[in-house]
Amino acid sequence: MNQQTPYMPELATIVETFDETPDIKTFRVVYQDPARMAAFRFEPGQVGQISVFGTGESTFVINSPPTRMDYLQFTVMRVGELTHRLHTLKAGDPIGLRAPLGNHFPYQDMKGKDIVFVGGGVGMAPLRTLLLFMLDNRKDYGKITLIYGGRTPAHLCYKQELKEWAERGDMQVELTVDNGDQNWKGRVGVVPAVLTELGTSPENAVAVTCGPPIMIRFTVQALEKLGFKDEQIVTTLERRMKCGVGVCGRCNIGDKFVCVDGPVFTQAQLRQMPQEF
Amino acid sequence: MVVRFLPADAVADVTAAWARDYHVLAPVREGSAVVYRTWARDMHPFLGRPPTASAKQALLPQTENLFNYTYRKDKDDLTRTEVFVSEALPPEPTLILGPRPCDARGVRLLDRVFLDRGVTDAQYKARRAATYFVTVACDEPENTCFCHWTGGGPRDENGSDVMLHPVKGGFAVRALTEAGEKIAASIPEAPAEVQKELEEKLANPPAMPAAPDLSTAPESFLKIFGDMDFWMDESARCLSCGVCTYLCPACSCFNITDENSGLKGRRLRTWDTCMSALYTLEGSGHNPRPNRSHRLRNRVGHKFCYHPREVEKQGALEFSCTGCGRCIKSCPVSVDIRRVVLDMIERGAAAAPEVKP
Amino acid sequence: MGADRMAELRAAIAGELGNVDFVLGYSRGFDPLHATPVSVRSEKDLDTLIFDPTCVQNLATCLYGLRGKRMGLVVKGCDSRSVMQLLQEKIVDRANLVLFGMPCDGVIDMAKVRVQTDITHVREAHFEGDKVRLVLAEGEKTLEKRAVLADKCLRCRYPNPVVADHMIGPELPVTGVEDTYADVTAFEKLSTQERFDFWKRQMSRCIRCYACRNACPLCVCKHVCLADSREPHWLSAEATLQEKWLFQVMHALHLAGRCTECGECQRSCPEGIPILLLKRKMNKELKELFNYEAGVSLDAVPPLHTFLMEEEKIKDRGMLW
Repeated sequence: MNQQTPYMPELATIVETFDETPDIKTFRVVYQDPARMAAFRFEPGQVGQISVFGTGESTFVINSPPTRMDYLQFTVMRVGELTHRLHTLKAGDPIGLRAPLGNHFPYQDMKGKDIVFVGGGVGMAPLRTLLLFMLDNRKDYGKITLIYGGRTPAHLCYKQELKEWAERGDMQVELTVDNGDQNWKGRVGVVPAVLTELGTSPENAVAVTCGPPIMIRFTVQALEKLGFKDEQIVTTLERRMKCGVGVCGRCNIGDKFVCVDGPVFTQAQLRQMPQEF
Repeated sequence: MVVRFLPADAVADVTAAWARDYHVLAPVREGSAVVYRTWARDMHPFLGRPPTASAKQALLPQTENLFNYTYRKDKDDLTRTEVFVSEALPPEPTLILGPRPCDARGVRLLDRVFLDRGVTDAQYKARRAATYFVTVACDEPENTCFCHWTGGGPRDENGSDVMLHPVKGGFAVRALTEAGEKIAASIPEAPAEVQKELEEKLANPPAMPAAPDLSTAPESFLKIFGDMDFWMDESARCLSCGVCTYLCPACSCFNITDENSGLKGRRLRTWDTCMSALYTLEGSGHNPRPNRSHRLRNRVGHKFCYHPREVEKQGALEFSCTGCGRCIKSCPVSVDIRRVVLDMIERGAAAAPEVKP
Repeated sequence: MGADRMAELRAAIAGELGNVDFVLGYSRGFDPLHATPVSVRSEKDLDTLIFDPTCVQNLATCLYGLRGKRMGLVVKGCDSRSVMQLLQEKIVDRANLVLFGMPCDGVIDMAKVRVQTDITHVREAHFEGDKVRLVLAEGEKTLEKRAVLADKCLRCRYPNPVVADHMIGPELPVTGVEDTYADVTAFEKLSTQERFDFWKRQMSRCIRCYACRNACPLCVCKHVCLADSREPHWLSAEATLQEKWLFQVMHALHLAGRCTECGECQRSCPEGIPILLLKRKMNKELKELFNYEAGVSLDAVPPLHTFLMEEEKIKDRGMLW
């Protein structure tokens, strides 16, 4: 990204799209300049601003890990103007990209620890980045558990990968849905309840959670009941963003900007901020 | 430093001369407002009152092109499109006549955002380097002025290239920077009596009511952050419009939008206001600041708590407010930010540790 | 306003505090010539209340945003017409409102005061009969009240609120002249080019702050306002004449038959743009076509909220099939 003109996107092309759920699509993109693509570096948890020229820009986590750089992946839920337009695009279409932006998961501090991923719906997107990064550096981390839920089985993202992760043997996968269907043979129940039921130990552990605000709220409560301290709980925040580089003023919480000081925060950091979520 | 004298009836001619070398913005009276207009012949600059809007428009225009884009369809495969992105044009040297010291001080606060925060905003930087302030010093603060509460004053020189001091028959002119020397060069040296009048003026600044101690503002704010009764009462009158933010020399928040004409378009940045209900509205429909109480709290908090905390490593307490009083003067419902800040300090002093919302 | 009248207002409000979440009234603003709305929730807030010719704001502006809340409102005659129009349109529920009606003989127009005297150092303001006595930094100055009253007050036919639960103080006789829309007629005499040049000049200093929109009590689009909408995309974000002008025209059209000419749009404009003229033009047309005046009668149906197969004053060439 050009530091002198921080608002100028670089051109990229969509190389693949797939439907994850009725309203969530995954996009794989590459920079149009191969040298740029080859030189691109980022840390898990950082985000990009995707432009559809003529419509606007929106922030999405770089959903693939830096250990797999054939493309950059973004998972997008269709909610507003930009995402509706983005969902109509297909392989070969051009987009703009400003990346990497924001901070990243403090994975260095997580080395040697047990990791508990707690995700809901499209909140699985940032978790996937860190999960794959950790799986690609498996020996650096202890036990890895994924607790992931959606409204229904159709609302789970990365369905094929969820199967693969469950079959790997070096991580635990616990899926749940709020409402099952005739083929669903797994758990039924909200994510925080599953977390509580599993009784994951906070001993030498870090929890990384992302999902709808209400899920995060109850998840944090459940983690606290299990004995997780604020420094052991990591999450990513959402905020309406525009410039993505801490200038336009929009995404502030207190004197922090979610686009620069975040979007990754520990619960300890969030408690220090004015409670405006 | 050479003191020069600009007779009142020569202001228009001197401004016309400046207009040969610079794009000049000069204040003129239109109805009840004093508006900056691009200099044109037969204009009568009006320097008797602070302009209605701040001078920030010279550095941060209300609408600015970030870049243009063009889609081109591949004629052999109509389903394929390409996008070409081109940058916008650089600015021309600009002279803004008529700001007051409170306006010029605002520039430093804008620099904090656009130059000091980790990224450099190239367009702001280019305008900043090419804009010159010919400021009018204040003799009589208005009842909405409180520049000295926030570290300024009626003759504060920060941000000015040339300062005009009202004297009998016109203005005593002092160039404060190298660029200012160049601008003032054509104005003749002042006669002895004008120099004397200026000396006396500078030695006797206008009386202003004592400034309250605002040093506890940041911590008071945090203490009563969750006191929604307080913020509801203070914001009960607020219309959620954009008058305060758009007229403020220190407010700089902007929106970024794409505007199309067929297959071509431009990405713009435009002034936006944190007081608008839509400002933090997320795509999901969630809004962290749904009420006027939340938004007024954020605005006051940003100016008197978040900004000072952001810059506190760099020395003295700095608020993101120059005390120009425009937000008070022009607010349709007379919200008075002085009142809000003083109430906040009082409430904070009496409060227990932070009240949870 | 007399001390007895203020006492009467405070007593009336105190009596209703148990029935409402809060009462919106006026208190002293940053100087003696400015009032600011205040929210009264308990008896200790009553002392801050004032009522005098500086009380210019139309408190009915907050009604739409606060529908559902039980609240009290202090209203002048013109403000009460806005309330009435909202009631006619069934936008607010009468049962949730307690109205304190203040018969009013006019409010000041700061633009007119400024023409006569410096307004930036006022220490005291006394409204004494038909005079306004100001104490300034440099001495006293007395103005003719009629010379500084808002234009709407000079033609006011509703000095007494048209709807109220408590009427505070004696009712006042009508002293306003009949409104013949002379300002609109005079403007219409200008050529199209002259009119265009006028609005080009005026609107060029608009800063799209939307104070005019937000101050309007009848403005109810709120978050779907055409000014902000991207879908459909009516206005670009640019601060150009085209976008500013289109907003004003559409706003005037949205207010046709609904605007009670409280004048808050124009008063709120920080750049002093005479946008009330546009709404007055609409109202003049509506008066001529439908003999309709907004916000005076609860049973009246606003003309653009209904239609007749045969309109008295519209000759539609009878092309019915």
